[in-house]
Amino acid sequence: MSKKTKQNQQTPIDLVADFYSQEKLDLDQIVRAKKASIQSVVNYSLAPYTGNFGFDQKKHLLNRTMVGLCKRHLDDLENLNLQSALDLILTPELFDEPVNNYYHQLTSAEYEELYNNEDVPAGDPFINRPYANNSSAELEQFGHERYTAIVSWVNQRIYKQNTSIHWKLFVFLHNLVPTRCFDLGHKAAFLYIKLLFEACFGSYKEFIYQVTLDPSMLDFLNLALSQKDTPDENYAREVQELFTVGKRPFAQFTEKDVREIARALVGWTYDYEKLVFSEGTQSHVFFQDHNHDIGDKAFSSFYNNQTIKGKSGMDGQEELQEVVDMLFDTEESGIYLCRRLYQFFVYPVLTPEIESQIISPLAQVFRDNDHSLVAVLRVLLGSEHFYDAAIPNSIIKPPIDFNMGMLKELMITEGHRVYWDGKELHNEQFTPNHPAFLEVEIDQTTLSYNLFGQSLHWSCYNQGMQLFTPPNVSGWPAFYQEPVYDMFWINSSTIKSRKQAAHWFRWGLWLYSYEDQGVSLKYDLFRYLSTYQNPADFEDFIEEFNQRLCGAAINESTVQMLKNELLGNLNDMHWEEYITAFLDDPSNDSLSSIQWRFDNVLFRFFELSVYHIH
Amino acid sequence: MKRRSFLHKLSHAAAAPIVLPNILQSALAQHAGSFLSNTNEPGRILVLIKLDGGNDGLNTIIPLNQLSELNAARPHVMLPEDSIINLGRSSLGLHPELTGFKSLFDEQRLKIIQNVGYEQPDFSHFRSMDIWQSASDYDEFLNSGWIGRYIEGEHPNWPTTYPNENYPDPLSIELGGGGSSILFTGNQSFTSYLTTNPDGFHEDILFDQNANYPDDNVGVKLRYIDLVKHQSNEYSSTVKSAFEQAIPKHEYEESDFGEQFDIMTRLILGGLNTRIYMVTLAGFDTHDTQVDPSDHTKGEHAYLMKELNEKVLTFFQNLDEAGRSDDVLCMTFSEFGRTIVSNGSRGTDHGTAAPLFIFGNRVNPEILGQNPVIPKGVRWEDNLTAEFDYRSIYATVIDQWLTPNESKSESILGRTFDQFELLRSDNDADRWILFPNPVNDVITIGVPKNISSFYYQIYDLTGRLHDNGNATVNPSKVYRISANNLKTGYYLASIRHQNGNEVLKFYKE
Repeated sequence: MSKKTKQNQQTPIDLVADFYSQEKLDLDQIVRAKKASIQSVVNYSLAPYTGNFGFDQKKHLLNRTMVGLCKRHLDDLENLNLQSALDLILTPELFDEPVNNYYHQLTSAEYEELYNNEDVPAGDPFINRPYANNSSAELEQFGHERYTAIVSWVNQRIYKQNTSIHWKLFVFLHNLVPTRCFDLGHKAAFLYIKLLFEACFGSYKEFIYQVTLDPSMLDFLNLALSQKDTPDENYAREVQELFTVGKRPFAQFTEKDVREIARALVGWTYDYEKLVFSEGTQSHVFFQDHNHDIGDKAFSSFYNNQTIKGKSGMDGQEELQEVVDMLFDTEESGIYLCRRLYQFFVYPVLTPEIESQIISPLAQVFRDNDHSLVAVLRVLLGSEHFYDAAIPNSIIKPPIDFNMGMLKELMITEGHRVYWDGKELHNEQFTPNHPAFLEVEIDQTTLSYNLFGQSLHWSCYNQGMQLFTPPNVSGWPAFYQEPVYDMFWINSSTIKSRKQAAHWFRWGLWLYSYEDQGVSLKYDLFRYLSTYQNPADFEDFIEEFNQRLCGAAINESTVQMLKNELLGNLNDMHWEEYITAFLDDPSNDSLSSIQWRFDNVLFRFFELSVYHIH
Repeated sequence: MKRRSFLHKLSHAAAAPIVLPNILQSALAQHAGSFLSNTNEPGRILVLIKLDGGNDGLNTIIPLNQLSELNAARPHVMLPEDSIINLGRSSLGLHPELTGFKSLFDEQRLKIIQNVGYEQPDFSHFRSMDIWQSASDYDEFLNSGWIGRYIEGEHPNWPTTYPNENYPDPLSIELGGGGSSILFTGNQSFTSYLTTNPDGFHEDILFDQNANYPDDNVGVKLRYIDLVKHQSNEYSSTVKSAFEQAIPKHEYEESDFGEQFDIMTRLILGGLNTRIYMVTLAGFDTHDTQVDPSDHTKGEHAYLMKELNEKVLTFFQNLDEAGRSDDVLCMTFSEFGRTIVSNGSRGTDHGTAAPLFIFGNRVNPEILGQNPVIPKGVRWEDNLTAEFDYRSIYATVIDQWLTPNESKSESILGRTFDQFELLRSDNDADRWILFPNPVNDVITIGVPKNISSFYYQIYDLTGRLHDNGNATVNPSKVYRISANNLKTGYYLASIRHQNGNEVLKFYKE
């Protein structure tokens, strides 16, 4: 018999039965067990954490604030105390722009012929230059090359991220306020990305004002086509329900409130032709006063029975700010935002204790600090509650954290284009003289390989989370869908995709990409092993890997199984000799068999369930 | 303003499956066995078709007696009168793209239920879709779906000990929709298997056989991941081998929705005995550009209608071919309909009640519900009232299709709901039947008990008449017609008798 529950007092439900038990399941017992584990949180205090800030705490902090934990992030925190660590992590990164890294797909001459427009030279920024001019013929594929350039640029920046929360916050905002930003082309996508990036360290309220006027948002939620006679409700509804005050029953806005906001906002639109085909990076968003509803707008008691006076002419534009002010005047706006931050950075399940002892005070911090997300995070990430033993390793990693974590940890060094011609795999080594490529070296400072970015993008798609393609305006279900939340990332289809992503390291990393091309990546085994204390001893090695990157202990039987896979017929002593010799002289060819053994097994590590939680 | 699409959606590289043209043939007799007796044998299948976004019911099933009211209320999207397909019943018409629905309706294989919804409708996609999937009241917040609860009810030990000898195949499969939906979430776990490319890469996924999971949130997550890995390893091989068995004879036009139907068809024809499938067609949230400005029969909604029409029709053609269509029941659902009054952006906004479609060989073809009435002086805030609670349909499907005569619906749905007759009476004496199908030399027509004579015509699908005649029925109640002069292809036997008309479709080999 299904249980009726009110949303804010729901019974936590354990979705996983006892895996190897043959007994009939007892739902009550499971519910009790789940309740017990939630109650294993001891500390609900937001007071500054003063306990030991050692390796485990640093790992936990980085797991939740980086897009993919890796050794270099851990190294950056090595001698820092909590406040200094937060100072470092809460520092913004620099923003730049994408460049033409698609010249291997389309040379300048080919581009000009296809789009009847001059391209920018290889390596140059292109956002200012429209991809085509208006007289280009109808094309099936529309500007795909620049799409790949932007996507690979974002992925590259994330890969290279400093030990800063900035890109993680970007993902948070993108999930909270999503659009399919490429629907209106490259410039619109860039403007949306830039807006989000710059909003991370600013005022969320100001961001909501700006994003209402973002062209891809005007398009995505239909405000751009709204007509004053029967205004479109989509944006009016979602800006409340998803972006500011949240869903009923917490937020008590009415259907009439939705219609009134729709009336207050109608008139804003953008010029598609200018957005896509003119020079520069303006959004070409403008207000059509003749399409604005100039009547007064009356709101419900949730909004204090406020009236927004209708304004005629271009003054009608001012109503947007009044709507935003009205939304953020509510208590609920702060509470809703802090809930979302908590669910994303700490744990998705909210209990009454968390609501009263954590969310409520954080909402006050939010309001007191001009709606700053970072101010809230500084308190939350430095709090006793955050370091309570029940919190670390309790969430399943989102796809992008999983993929980036693997690649960053291995410090990828080199890439080759790989393609499938229907019969066999071709692996090209690019040289500086190759007509299609100029940049072939991939190291920690210049990871700009277009195919790499695309491949990563597709891998994330297969795992259920591709940036800039949210399933709908709610973002990705793992971040909001009760009761499963982060378990949503793992189903029979995505678990295979995760395994594939890890598995492809066996062949160098080949990820599916456009037109059956991919990239084969190499990591430097010597360099990687050198980050370990005692890599020659397999058990020490896996123990250190476990400690550094995994969320729980690897079972002894699994360790032995992996050891057998790695060593094969070699005994421990011979193995140790080989590795030691390799570390002394990595150029020794006779030790090449070590590389493939490591390739085989190291990437099995990434299949382990304990690697998928953080 | 002309909008071009920035294409960056690329289809997955799906390797061509190995073709063994060995279409599984099952007996033409119906499988009346219990739904989930085991998955070693074919049995009844339920296909759920999710229309994601809120389908505009008033442009799908059009009340022809309200045309002027509709034109006044929704001029921005209304279909031209001469484009609407006349259903020939109840003063209803169909969207011009739904030609297949019309033929299925004529074959008595489509049941239309009007004005389906629930009390105090919610206009939020997410809330309303949750309501439909969890089968809750507007003020109840359930965390499980009706299918998930149903499967858990039938399989109390799920997921441990699955798959096993009696249930080697997944209990349910989700094909579209981007991840597991709450519909298939039970009170204890997920109950579905997801697949987008059964023929793809498959290798066992490493998991720890002997793990001791800590007794906290970390342990919960680890156990869950390992469980999914285990089942994925097991189910992947059965699904893949079914997938490789058959190629559907009638191809689906290429699209994401088509791919879902293609996979589902192959699995069913390939002998996978999974009982519940779900496919998803997205894009129904037509707030703007629902129709083309110069031609309302085209546009976003028309595209979706065309997709739905073509896939369902082709699906039944494939099932007919393999003799499996008796086993399958399809049902659409959507989170709500749309506003009566259109908006100035050539679209409609979130509405309330809407029609629901059930497809099956033996459905009771009676149309349920009154034609929607457009209120006088209709305003934008006015919406259609639900005549049927959506859970009546669930209750009917559970108690009359999935596990007949066992009355499980009350425990799944929380209380009883009024049901309707889903299937036509079992008594063949009341029905016209044509067999065998496909036909070789002789068409045999089984005649209902009260009929003594009739007039028949045999047409091909271009409308050309091939045979006709007056028939007097013998005491054994069958009448035989020679099919020797018919070329290979589809035909309609149109029958006129004292109680009305009948159309029987058949395929000549």
